[in-house]
Order: sequence, then C-alpha cells, then structure tokens
Amino acid sequence: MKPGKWLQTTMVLTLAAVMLLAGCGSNSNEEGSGGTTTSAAETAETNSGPVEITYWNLFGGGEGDFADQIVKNFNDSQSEIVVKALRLESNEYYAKLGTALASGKGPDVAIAHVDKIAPFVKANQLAALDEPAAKAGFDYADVTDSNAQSVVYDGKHYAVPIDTHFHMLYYNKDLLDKAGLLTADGLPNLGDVSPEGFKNFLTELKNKLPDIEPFAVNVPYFHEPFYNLYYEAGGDLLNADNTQAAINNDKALQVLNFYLDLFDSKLSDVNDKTPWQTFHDGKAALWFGGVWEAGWHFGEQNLNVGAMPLPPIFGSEQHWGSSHTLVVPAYVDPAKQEAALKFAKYYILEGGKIWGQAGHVPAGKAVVSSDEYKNLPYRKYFIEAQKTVKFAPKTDKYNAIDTSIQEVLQNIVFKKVTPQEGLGIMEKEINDILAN
Amino acid sequence: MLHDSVAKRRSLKALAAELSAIAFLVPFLVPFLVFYVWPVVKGGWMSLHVWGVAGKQRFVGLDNYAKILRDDNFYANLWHSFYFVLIFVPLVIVFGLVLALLVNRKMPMRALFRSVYFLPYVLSVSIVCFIWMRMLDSGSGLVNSILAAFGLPGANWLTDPDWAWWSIAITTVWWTVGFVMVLFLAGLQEIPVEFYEAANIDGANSYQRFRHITLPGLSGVMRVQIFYQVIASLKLFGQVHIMTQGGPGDTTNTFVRYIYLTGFKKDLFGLASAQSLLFCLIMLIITAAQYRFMNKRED
Repeated sequence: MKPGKWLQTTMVLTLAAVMLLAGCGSNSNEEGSGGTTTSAAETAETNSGPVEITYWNLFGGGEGDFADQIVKNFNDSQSEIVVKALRLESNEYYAKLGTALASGKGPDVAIAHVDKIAPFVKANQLAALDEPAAKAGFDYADVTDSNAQSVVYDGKHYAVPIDTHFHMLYYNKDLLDKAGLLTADGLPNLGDVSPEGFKNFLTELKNKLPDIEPFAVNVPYFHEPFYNLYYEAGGDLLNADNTQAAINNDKALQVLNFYLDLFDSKLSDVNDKTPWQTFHDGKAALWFGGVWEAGWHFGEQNLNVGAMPLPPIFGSEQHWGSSHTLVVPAYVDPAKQEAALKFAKYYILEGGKIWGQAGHVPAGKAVVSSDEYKNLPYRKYFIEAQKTVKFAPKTDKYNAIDTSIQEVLQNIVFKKVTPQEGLGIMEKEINDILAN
Repeated sequence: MLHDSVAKRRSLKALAAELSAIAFLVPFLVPFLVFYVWPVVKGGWMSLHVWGVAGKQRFVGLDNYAKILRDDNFYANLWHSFYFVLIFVPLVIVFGLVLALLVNRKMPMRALFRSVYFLPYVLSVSIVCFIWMRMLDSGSGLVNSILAAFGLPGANWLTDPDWAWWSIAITTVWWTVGFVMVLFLAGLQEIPVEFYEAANIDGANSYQRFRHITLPGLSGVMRVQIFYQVIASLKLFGQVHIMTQGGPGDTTNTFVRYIYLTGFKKDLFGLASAQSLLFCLIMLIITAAQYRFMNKRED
C-alpha cells in the first residue's frame, strides 16, 4: 500500500469511527427509544386489539432474567394486555425517567426505587393509584404493611411496591470452618457482638488465615455499609420533620472510626474496587451483601456460603433498606392505567414467586408466607431481617442529600478529610440543600 | 431604462445566489440551532432559576453563580481538570510524535504497525476503561502480576492518590495516541524529501535533521494538535467516571463530572446549568488565549 493511500484509508476509518461513536452517544442520550415504543403502543391500541403498555425497568445482570420471566409469564397468562418491557442502563435510569415524566412521553408503567419517588410525586408527575387499583381489582391489603405505607403521600398510594431489599451478612462457611470459627449450626461464631468483639473476630480470622481478607467492605459504595451500621447505632440522616441534617454526631463518628480502623489494621481492603467479586471468588470470609446477590452466591457450585441478618454490632437491628416499586406516570390515560395496575396485581400475587428467587423479599403477603418461598435457602432469615429495615427519609431532596453524603464519605475513607471534618461538611451541605 | 433593468437583474441574481447559499447551509444550520444554540439559551435561562426534577421552581437571578464561586469544590474540580491537561497533553504529543516517526520509516509490515497503533481509537470509552481497570486491578491485575514476576512491588493504581491520575493519563494515551500519530504522519509526508537529501549532503546527523527539518516542518500540525488535545482533555469525564468514580476521595473528580453530579445525581439542574455556562466561558477564554498565542508565534 502506498503511504498516501494508506493515509486515505485511515482517515476514512477515523471518520467512520467518529460517526459510529457519535451515533452511539446520541442513541444513549436521547429519549428516542422511549418515544418510538410509545407511539407503537398507541397504534396498537387504535386497532382495538389488546392494550399494549410500555414498561421501563433497570434490572440488569442476574435479576434481569427473573424480571423478564415475570413479564413473559404475564403476557402468556392473559390476552387483553401486552406488556412491552424496555430495560434501560441503571446508571442513567433516573435521568431518563425524570425526562420522560417531565416531557409527558415515555413509559406507561415503570420501576422506581421507593426513595426516588418523592420528587416525582411533588411535581404531580405520578398518578395516584387507589382508583385504578380498585378498577383493576388490586387491593393494597395484599402488600406487606410497611411497604404499602412507604408509598403513601397525603393519604394516597402513588406506587405499587414489589419488594424490599437490604443487606445480609454473607459468610464463607469453608473459610470460617478452616479457621475454627463456625458453630455446629453452621453460623459464624461471632462471640461478643460489639465493635470490639467484631474486630476481635476478624483479627482471629486474619491470624488463622493470613491470605484471606477477613471482611470485604463495599468501599466503592461506602454509603451502604455506613448507613447499615449508623442505623444500627440509632442514627438518622435528618431530624424528625426532615428540615435539618442530623448526621453530625458521635454515633456517625464512631461508625466511621470503626471502619477506618478495619482498613488500617488490614482486616478490610480499602483498595478493593470489586469487593463483591472478592467474596464471590472465595477470597474474603465475610461480606455485607445485598439480598439481590443471593441467587448469584448460592448458585455458585464452588462456593459454600451462608447468610444471616446483619449482627447488631452497634446495638440495634435497624439497617438500611430500599424497595422497588411500580409507578404509573400521570400522563397515562385511564385505560392504560388500569392495564398497568392489572400488571402490578399480577406482579404482587404471581410474579413475586419468581421475584423471590432473585433474592429480593417480595412485597406480596401471600407469596412471602407461602412454603414455596420459605423453602428457598435462608429466606427465613431474609424475612426476619426485612422487619427491621429503615427506608430513606421521605423528602424530595433525598437524591441530593444521598449524593452529598456519598461524595464526602469517599473523602473520609481515603483520608482527604478526617471523619470529624467530613461530618461537618455533610451537615453543612445537607442543610444548604434543605434550605433551598 | 436599459441600465435600470440590468441592475435589477443583477441584484436579483445576487439575491438568488444568497438564497442558494442559505439553502446549502440549512442542513447544517437547523441542527446547529436546534441542538446547540437553543440548549445553550435554555441553559442560560435555567441557570437563573432553582430548577429541579419538576422543572422551574423559582427565579433566583445570579444566586446560582454566586453559590458556585463560594463552593470549594468548584475550584478543586477545576484544578483537577487543568492538572489532567498538564500531565496528559505533553505525554500524548510526545508519544504520538515518536510513534509517527517510527512508522514513517521504511520497514516490513509498516501498514500493520500503523493500523495496530491506531486501533484502540475506534473503541468506545467504556470498553477502554474496563480493559484498563482489569489490567490495573490492585489484586489480580496484569500490571501488578508482571511487576511481581520481576520482584517489584505493585501499586494500588486506581485508589492511591499518587497513581490515580497517571493511570487515567496512561489509559487515555493508549486510547487516543493513534489519532495524534495519524495527524503527525500526515504532517511528516508534507515535508519535502529534498530537505533531508540536502541536509545529508551537508553532513547533518539525524538529531540535527530532526531538530531543524522535521520539527519546524511539523509546527503547523503541532499547533493544531496541542490546541485540540487541550480542549479534549479539559472535557475529561468518561474515564474518571468509570475507572475511579472521581476517586480516591475526590482526587480525580473533574469539572465535567462535578456538573454531572450536580445535575443528574442531585437533581439541581439550575445550578448545573450555571456550572456548565461558567465552564463554557472558561473554555472560550482558554481557546481564545491559545489562538492568540499561536497566531503570534506564526507571525
């Protein structure tokens, strides 16, 4: 090839690559995909066939397969409604859902975390569901009370909760057994459940198994392990009427110092960017993991894992929790609202059986009390732990508050600020957000 | 009479020419107005309000701007973006030039080498980042494994404040150096071969030929490259967002990620718009300064 010709080829290639990349970019940033599905749904309706509703969700990885199965089963189970599921990338999900709700074009029913719905409710962008629920024959009494209560604003339900999810203490039985720290019942022999007691347990593990990380801590999402122990200590993010930060206190300080001490004593690895994988690979003995990881860990042949509710290291059994809910945008017409609620009803009564296998604790009372569910591994502990979860404060500023806390926590963990300074910054930032 | 009608015909012709010019520009102008100018105007309007998920909440005038200028994070993240320019631009220019000189030589399989060096450029940012995250993993990553094989201590490439920026810079060099190389290669082929022949006759050594023929011959391309790379690296977002999440702590949190967090994670769209416009202004000033500086040197 001549140099000139080669250059030409390369330039053409570059141009093609740039155009390709630009194409990808605009594709993932625009609302195009949502718009087209809606118009497809509209044409279907005018043909007086089954009602077609568009369903947005963010379930990827292992839980995505279960979510897809539920939609498929629903579509197969009846002929009047067709649910078209669209899975969006979870990182950008709320940016897209927010845009869709604001512009009035998008899904007919969508997944939203319970701690994300307050701003949408405040903006009147979500439909109140009591009326369509009655028409669809769905009763909130079928939903676990704490879940049903979590979606009430001004006495009305604005979502249908489908699950509760939170963290469990996962433990590697083989490793604990090797270290002689497994009880006869196959539970970790934690001994004295207190900050010092837990550290002693980890130190003993380290002494017995020097090549193993005793306790993998979720540093990339450090707010999760922080919230868990801070809630255990009886802490709150905000004051009772959600008008002031309540985070700058001794409890938070003790929890932070506890974790920093674990990092300093090499009982936990602050530099691990994928601690869930470290635990899954059998290189860490303990791990505070989400219930949604249950199917993944228990399904691994080479991994002998148990799960128990988080031990009350800092006193109480309160711990962080959230919940997936189904919401219906306010712009959806009544016929489709009713169809969406029929889908929600199915999700609660039938879908929950499949959803429970993914690990989340289903919100349907009947499913959770069924033998089918209880016979799944460790689910009795899940049900136990579900009773003591603490949801995020019900404020439409939660996104901003949570993000601020996350950022400052990273600076604390990597010692750019001391815990004391960090808590002061959090307090100031949160109060600024709330004052706005 | 006659004169008049000729003039009229002429002006009509000119008008037609104008109109056809505009017609040719429309395919560019319409998307430009809709997708560029309008968002900027709208952003300016939003920046004067408290603007949340629900849209406009209330007018606050220039409060958002005042708030940004009082925010320590603003200065810290702005500095981070500039820091990346300082370490990355020299690196990518030098490597790009070296590669261009290498593959410009007559050697077997030259086209293959050229293509291989260029290939990473066609990958998307997420793929590039995941490849390097694996390689730089502090536990089982390739880089630390190789170091260990030579008995050298590894490092926490992505979580050690001393290394995180270099990891991002090296990743970005690997990704984009091919493009820099191609432009230099084009520049090299513009330099007349006679210059080198004459220099050989005069007995110039290879360093002298490089210093006095190649470098001056590339000065035009060099200016464009620096100009482009400075702007591109100021906009750094994807690599730090995926590889370090701005960490460790906020060590690699750049200005664009600061805007992203404010807008899309905190739902403070008014404030984020103000940040974007300030950033746009800063970029314009830098671009203008660079432009002035370069044109002066050319004179």
